[in-house]
Amino acid sequence: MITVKEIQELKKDFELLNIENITVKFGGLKAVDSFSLELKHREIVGLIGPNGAGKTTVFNTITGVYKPDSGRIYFEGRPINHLSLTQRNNIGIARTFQNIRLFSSLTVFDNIRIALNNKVNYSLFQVFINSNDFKTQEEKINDKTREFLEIFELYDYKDRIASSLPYGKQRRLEIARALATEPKLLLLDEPAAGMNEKETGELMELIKWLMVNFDISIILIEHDIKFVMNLCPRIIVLDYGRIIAEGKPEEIRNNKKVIEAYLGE
Amino acid sequence: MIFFENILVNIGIMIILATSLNLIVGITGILSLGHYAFFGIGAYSSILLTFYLHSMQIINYIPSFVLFFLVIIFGGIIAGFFSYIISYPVLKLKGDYLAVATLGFNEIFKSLMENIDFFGGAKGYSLYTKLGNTEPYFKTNLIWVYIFVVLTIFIIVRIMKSNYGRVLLAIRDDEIASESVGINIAKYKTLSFVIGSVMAGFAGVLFVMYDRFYATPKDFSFLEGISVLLMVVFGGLGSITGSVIGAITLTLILQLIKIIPFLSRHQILFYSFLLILMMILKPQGLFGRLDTTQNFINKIFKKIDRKEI
Amino acid sequence: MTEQLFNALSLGFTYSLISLGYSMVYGIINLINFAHGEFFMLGAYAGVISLIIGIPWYISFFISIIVGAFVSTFVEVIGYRPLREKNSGRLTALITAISFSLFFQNFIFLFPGADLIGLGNRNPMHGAVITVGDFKIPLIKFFIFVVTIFLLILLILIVYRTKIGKAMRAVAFSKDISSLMGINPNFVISFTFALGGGLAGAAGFLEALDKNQVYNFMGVIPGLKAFIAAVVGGIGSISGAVAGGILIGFLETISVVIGLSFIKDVISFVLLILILILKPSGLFLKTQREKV
Ligand SMILES: Nc1ncnc2c1ncn2[C@@H]1O[C@H](COP(=O)(O)OP(=O)(O)O)[C@@H](O)[C@H]1O
Ligand SMILES: [Mg+2]
Repeated sequence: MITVKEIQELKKDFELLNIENITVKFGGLKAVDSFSLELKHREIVGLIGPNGAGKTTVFNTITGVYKPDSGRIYFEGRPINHLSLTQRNNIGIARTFQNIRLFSSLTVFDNIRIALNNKVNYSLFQVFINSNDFKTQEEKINDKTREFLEIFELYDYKDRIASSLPYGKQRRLEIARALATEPKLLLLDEPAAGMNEKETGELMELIKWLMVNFDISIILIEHDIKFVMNLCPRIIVLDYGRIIAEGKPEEIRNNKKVIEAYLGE
Repeated sequence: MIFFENILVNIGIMIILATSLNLIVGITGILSLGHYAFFGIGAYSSILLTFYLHSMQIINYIPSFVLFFLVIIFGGIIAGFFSYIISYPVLKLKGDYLAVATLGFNEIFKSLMENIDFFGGAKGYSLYTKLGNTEPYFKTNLIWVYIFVVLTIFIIVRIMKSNYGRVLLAIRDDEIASESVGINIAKYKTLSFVIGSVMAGFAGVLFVMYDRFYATPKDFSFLEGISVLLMVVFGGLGSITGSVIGAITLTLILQLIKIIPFLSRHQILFYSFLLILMMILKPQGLFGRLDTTQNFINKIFKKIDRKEI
Repeated sequence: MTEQLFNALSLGFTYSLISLGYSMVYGIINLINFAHGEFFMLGAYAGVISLIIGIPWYISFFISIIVGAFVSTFVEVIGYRPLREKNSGRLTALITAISFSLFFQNFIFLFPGADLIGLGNRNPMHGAVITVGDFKIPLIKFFIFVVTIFLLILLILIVYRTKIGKAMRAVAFSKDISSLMGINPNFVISFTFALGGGLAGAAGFLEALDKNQVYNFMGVIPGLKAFIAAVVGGIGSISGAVAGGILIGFLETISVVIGLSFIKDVISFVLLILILILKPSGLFLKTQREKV
């Protein structure tokens, strides 16, 4: 026999991410209120809701920027509440930021190389004596960086300072940087914001391509409803920190609460 | 001749201090105002160790250059040790708060030296007197200074050529983004802070063992350290070439000032006036981020590499 | 005992008056204005010089305040504002602040003999003592007490009861939003500097009367300690600055009373480092999370 409790625990093990009832408060304001989410391997979920609904705060809590006031987060069955931002990236959670946070004074090439920082294991001493090990590892990093830049069609910009790129390219670079850390879960916070129609289309194709070619799950926050509906078979709607609807795109489209929340904006 | 040697030694010590402070402030973005404390720790440790070595008679058996090398390394290690301890609380802080905490640390260091008799109190520790009004068996000369100048620059340039350097720049640019790509920022900040402080410790030994042979708390106050910050800012934060040129230029200007009586009486006034002008007119410094030292050393390495093939 | 209490309080109040300027300026532009201690020093000089040339003390006091306010605003307009407009970063602003501080300290040396000026019998309160019951308290300590409370009430009225005070709070909350509402942030910032500088000038005058002398480095240590008081109390908060000042005043007086006078100047730094590590938002403010 297997108990219900055991089944629930088993589920956690087979799911990638499991959020149980997290609440995040800022002073008196509950930015996120009893938010729960289960995410399977290779699944893409859309997270929408009016401005200030708490979407970014959910990302900040998953990545460890904020600790929830209550509730638990599991990643591949392991509780991760106590892990830092860095540790959560190391176990496979990567993200982009709503207001792009690139290494703005560094080149496009270095932005990616930095994301590969955990791939090297040479010591400072090896750096000083310019050892062969150091050189081969650096070569590897450079090759890998080139590869990423080519996938994201940023190779031609490799020597440009990140902050000098056009907005759409900066967003792409930020996604590339997140992916370079080889995550299992990728959190995209309004990746199409500030892009023109052509760039948005390209980004959509890119995300589809990623879903096929990388072994990752994605949570996508986006204001462009068409964009989300096109990409995500499952959508969660947040308002005042609470989930007000969850389901397939067509269900969401016709949900009364959702329409009210957006009209009220 | 002595006059020129003095100036060159001064310049060399300032280069070590400025480039190492640049590693901490300009490259890693840690706004430390306590660099001179580590300079002082290096100085005090070296004269204490030297006195001890003399009283042990060890000097009769070991060549002086070996001993002096040990003394310099010792000064660096002690400075590094304290910086490691300090880094634990201080590096948790951000920006201005960190600046004030490091300043506070520097003042605490100074006050401890003033109040502990073992270190000579406010009037300082004179090795020269302790040794019976003689110079120690070994001392700083031009060669020692420039060996350590080259070593310091070499180490920083090599760091910048590796993952370590890239990560430090990333931390300077954006700590949260750095963490989000898996960088253990505490580890790298500590590394940068400790390496920079070890170098300041070396500089402290070289400084005190040249012709002074005594150290007073006042030599290592935060105010004295402002001139090094000025050199770093003057050359451009993050630029190694800038720090070197900043150190040379400002040390020379200071020497020049000493010749002109009016300016020599009002050195700091002049200094601070320059700094205000500089900040208002060209806050990014002389060199900004352009870095020729780095390119130069890397070119040499490339040449060596090619020969291997 | 009572005398020590008054010592602690008057010392604490002096720190508080300086601390307020640090706190207000940090609250509004996030800058540690290292030059602030110099407004205290220059205010003290102005007051002492006018006393020496025979101006009545209440006018001299006013002159101290005006000079403090003027120099403070001058530094903001000449030094900090261009940097803000160029967006040149924290370190640059911090270095500029330190440079101004050094500049003013050493500027005094241009006038031979000015680096230490004694007040002698020009001090209207020199040696005067008031007797309350059995206690004898130097008049100046009492004066510091009364004047500080008066100035604090005045400050609170300005910040909470006037239009410009409301504008100050608005700009501290968000520069962008307040400019949308038609407030000129630069004007409000300058006003804040004037207010802080004026309080520092007043504190300088009181200190000069208390110590019966002025010297060019007199702003350094009180300046640093007042900054620490601001941080300890929670930077940006008026009551925090006052509480922090009084706390440091007491700690120092106690360390002298128990015979540990050598830790007097260090204890505030130790306190600072402890507070920064344990509760960086200060003792009296709620912890806030950085918005990402
Ligand atoms: N660090 C913070 N401090 C205080 N309030 C915050 C902070 N971060 C977010 N908030 C508040 O939480 C609410 C949700 O914000 P956010 O998650 O950014 O919304 P969304 O991304 O859905 O637009 C908003 O009211 C916002 O002002
Ligand atoms: Mg958001």
